[in-house]
Amino acid sequence: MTDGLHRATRDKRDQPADGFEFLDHPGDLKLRAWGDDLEGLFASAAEGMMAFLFGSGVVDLEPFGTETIEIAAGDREALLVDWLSELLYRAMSEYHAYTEFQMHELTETKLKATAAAAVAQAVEDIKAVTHHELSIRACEDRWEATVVFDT
Amino acid sequence: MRPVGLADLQQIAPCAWEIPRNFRNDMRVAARLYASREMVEHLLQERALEQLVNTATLPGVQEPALAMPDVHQGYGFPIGGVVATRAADGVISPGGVGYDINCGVRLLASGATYPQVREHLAGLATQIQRDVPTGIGHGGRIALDDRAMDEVLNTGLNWAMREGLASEADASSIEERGCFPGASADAVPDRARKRGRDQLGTLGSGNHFLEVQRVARIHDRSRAEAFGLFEDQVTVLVHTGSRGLGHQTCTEYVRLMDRVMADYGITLADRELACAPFVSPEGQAYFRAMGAAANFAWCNRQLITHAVRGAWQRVLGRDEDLGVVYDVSHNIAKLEEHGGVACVVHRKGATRAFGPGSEGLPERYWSSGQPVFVPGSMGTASYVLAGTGVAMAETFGSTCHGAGRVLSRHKAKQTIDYNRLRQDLHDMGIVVRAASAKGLLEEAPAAYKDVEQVVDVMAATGVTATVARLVPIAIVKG
Repeated sequence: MTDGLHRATRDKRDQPADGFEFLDHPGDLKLRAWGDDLEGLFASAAEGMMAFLFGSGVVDLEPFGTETIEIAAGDREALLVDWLSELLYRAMSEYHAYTEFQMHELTETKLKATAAAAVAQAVEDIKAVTHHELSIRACEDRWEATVVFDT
Repeated sequence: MRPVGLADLQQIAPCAWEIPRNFRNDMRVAARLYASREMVEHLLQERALEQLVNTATLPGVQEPALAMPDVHQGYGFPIGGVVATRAADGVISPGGVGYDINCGVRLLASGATYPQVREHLAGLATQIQRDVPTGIGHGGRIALDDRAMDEVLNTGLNWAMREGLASEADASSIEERGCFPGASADAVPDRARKRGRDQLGTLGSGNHFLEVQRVARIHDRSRAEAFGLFEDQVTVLVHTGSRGLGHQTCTEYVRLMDRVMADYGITLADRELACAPFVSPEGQAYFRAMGAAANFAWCNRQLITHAVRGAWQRVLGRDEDLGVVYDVSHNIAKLEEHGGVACVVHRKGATRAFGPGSEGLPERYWSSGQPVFVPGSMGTASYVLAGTGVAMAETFGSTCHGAGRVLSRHKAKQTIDYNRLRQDLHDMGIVVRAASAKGLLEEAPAAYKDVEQVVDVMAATGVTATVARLVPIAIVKG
């Protein structure tokens, strides 16, 4: 993949508690994200999407401010799709990259978070976050999710 | 979910296969695949056929659910599928149209031959790249205010005509004259308007491109004549869609349908198939919004056409207009009558291919059938086809749309050498203007099925006739 994505893709052997990696998918982009808890998982998935859109250097961007994001959805899966869709919409319509995700409230159907916003030009495009093959599951000691993006 | 194996496919013709209705108990109709045996064997390795079976379970689906030879695994619906549902009691699904609403292809024909253009080609490609914004999220030359956006969304090409960016001849060469019946700006979410506000007249990235081509071979002389095509003629092919406006419209309506589906008693094999009855308030709102996004896409291809015409005149100094041969949509749902039944024909990665005498065709194509354009992968050939009576009888008037991806974007970037690819394109005499290396790698010919095999299957089935082969001489992409 692009250099940026190579760096962003973490090595599975020494995976940190929260993280993400990109899996091969014939037509589109598939992301696996994980975290110690659901909050960590949601933050990792967002970090993964931002690393894809803006390259791994996204974490070094200088934020100009913080934005609050609130989502309500029918269930946990829809909440994850809506969370990522909200960030994608803001990124593509405002030309902002987002980092430093802080989850202040997270239930099965509701989410309140803040993220640092920086002005940035995307290096990759994502059309949408899909429900296809979406799963959120509790593994032995962590939470994992896979999300397919239409690129 | 039970995978489809070779034994589950019944060969009903040399290039047609059927998965019977009893393959899975939730199927409402049989599914049909047009493909060669070699293509079938490749398809069995991915999940496109399970996805095809899933589409055969939708409420109101008409026999059969279809996959074209360029089919590949998508998200929810396969890419390269046609699903017709009864308008009276069937569903409409945003996923059956896709996120890039009215992504499509327009072919422009010049009066010039390749030898007349050859020495100006590099200049022409550079000028087009300058005049047509490409790449990710790139804002266009015009930002629409609310009123202009409403006009684009409600009236499509009529807006472009009022602005002096389109002619009557252009309008008559576009599906629906570039104005979707029933389209309504009011149904388009505000966020979609915002995401698309500065993207009109932009090509975008991904598999979207603009190509200057040479007519390399005429396969069907009388139809080629009807389409105004001749050997060695220079043509321009534009492949793009509704950009961020369409992506956001689909996103918002998938969310809405996902929420209301249970109220209508609909359960699905894949959540991404989210749908609602066509006649329901949600179904109708989506149809109006999709139509408005389709209008945006037609205006998008029109503005690009306008810019290409300007570049052509400026560089070649030729006092002629590049005429629109036709403009086809390959991600859309249309209300059409088939077999006496009003249907919502979802074409996701499939093209309308109406046969001779069909209602809605421009008069000059009444006897030839509708022109269809099938772009190959970058650097290979594209094809001009014509719709037939077989298409009307068997495929809800539909055919294939492209080569079909075989390598993921990721694999293409990993396995293909950039310098080699550039050299190969150069050796083929193709001028390349690409915004990024990755854009070029992702769309390399090796990442796609052979487009010739795809159109050959459709010709063997009689669904479309092969009219002409076009080869690229210059490529502009994001």
